[in-house]
Amino acid sequence: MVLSSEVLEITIRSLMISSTATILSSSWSIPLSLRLSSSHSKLTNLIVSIFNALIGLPTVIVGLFLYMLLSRTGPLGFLQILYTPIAIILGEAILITPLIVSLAYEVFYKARVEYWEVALTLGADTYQAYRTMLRETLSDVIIIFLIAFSRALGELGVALIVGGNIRGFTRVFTTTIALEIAKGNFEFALTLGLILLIIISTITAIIRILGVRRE
Amino acid sequence: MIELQNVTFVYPNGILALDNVTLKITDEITIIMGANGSGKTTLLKILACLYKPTRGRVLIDGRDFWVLNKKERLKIRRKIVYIHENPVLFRGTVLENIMYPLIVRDHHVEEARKKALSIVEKLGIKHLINRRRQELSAGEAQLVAFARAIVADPEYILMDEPTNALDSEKREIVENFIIQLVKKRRKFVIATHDRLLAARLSSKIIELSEGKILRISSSNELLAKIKSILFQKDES
Repeated sequence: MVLSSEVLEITIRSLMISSTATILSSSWSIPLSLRLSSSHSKLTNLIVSIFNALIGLPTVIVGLFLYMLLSRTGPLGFLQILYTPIAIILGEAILITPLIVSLAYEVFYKARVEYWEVALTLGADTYQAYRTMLRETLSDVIIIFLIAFSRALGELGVALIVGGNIRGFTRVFTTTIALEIAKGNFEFALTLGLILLIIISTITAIIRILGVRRE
Repeated sequence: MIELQNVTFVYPNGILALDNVTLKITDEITIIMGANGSGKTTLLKILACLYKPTRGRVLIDGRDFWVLNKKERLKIRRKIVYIHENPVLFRGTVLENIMYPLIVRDHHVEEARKKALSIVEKLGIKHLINRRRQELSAGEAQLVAFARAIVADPEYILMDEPTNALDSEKREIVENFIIQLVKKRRKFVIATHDRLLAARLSSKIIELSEGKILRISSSNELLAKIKSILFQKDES
């Protein structure tokens, strides 16, 4: 019973942290992608190339970078958020930013000629044109959101380094699985692994359904 | 009046689409002709103030468009509409699409609906108003795009291959509508491969080749050319 309540608690915490991180990252990544897609300059190409390259950034590097920033002696140490869920949210949001920017840029760039230009020529102001483009690409944006959420949910490095894997506070799916395997408690690790697999599979199924509908 | 002064446009991948083009849109209907890749679409998009030239100036009624502030640009852009070669319709019904230019100009929904219905009736596409984009043929979509473009009564209407997907009946409807709008002092710039359309409608024909203006001629000259080609065929 204790075990199942702990599983539930870890599941809820993991979902909360990863969804908050995805929403947070989307709040800056989507507007940035929209802005980038409406520019033709060489600087834009350079920025997009950098984000593309950062997609494969190892999670431990992000974790280490954030640890140095948030540790007591670090420049943001005064915030005292190291080893809290907020630190994990921040780390995951940073980790998935290149993924969201790159994917959303591709979607918006293709939609630019189709929708943004048409909206502008029909008399929309820039804000109305962006809104139209976002509405027209909504199913793609939801797919990107779900892909980013899956990536955040399945990452280990950031959660371990800046979260500290504190029981009842910052322990999430991946850190618990790693810990339980180290302890030899495979049954518990497998239970969590199975739940994680079900969540990721459900997300993949939703992505496929949305993709088919869009086509 | 729309005027281009020494306009050059280079795409980010380095392709030179327009090379030092200078021209004034003064006639009621100006036709732009040229082979594929000659720069017709780029020229239209620059005239529509959608593309900023790499070099040169775009003057609208004597004002340099790209140095104006956002508010003034929007005001000027609302005088010009560009209709894509492959019409792009938004989600929603045909009627909602046609109402779009009025809604973004802050017209009341009922008023927008009334105006949109009046246009679809004139164009003979009232039966399409509740359809969605995927339920339209290419020709129907082109007519809807035309209706949407003119519903807000812009001064300049720029059309890219406007009669491509239209059958002869729909083509006639569009041509008649163009003539009606010209009578209301609206100006058209039309990029087309259709020489007969060019000869029938225009008073000025601009021929483009590799991003440069090859020649500017009148429709009479084009008609004479078409006749000579036809006679040559008859003789042979």
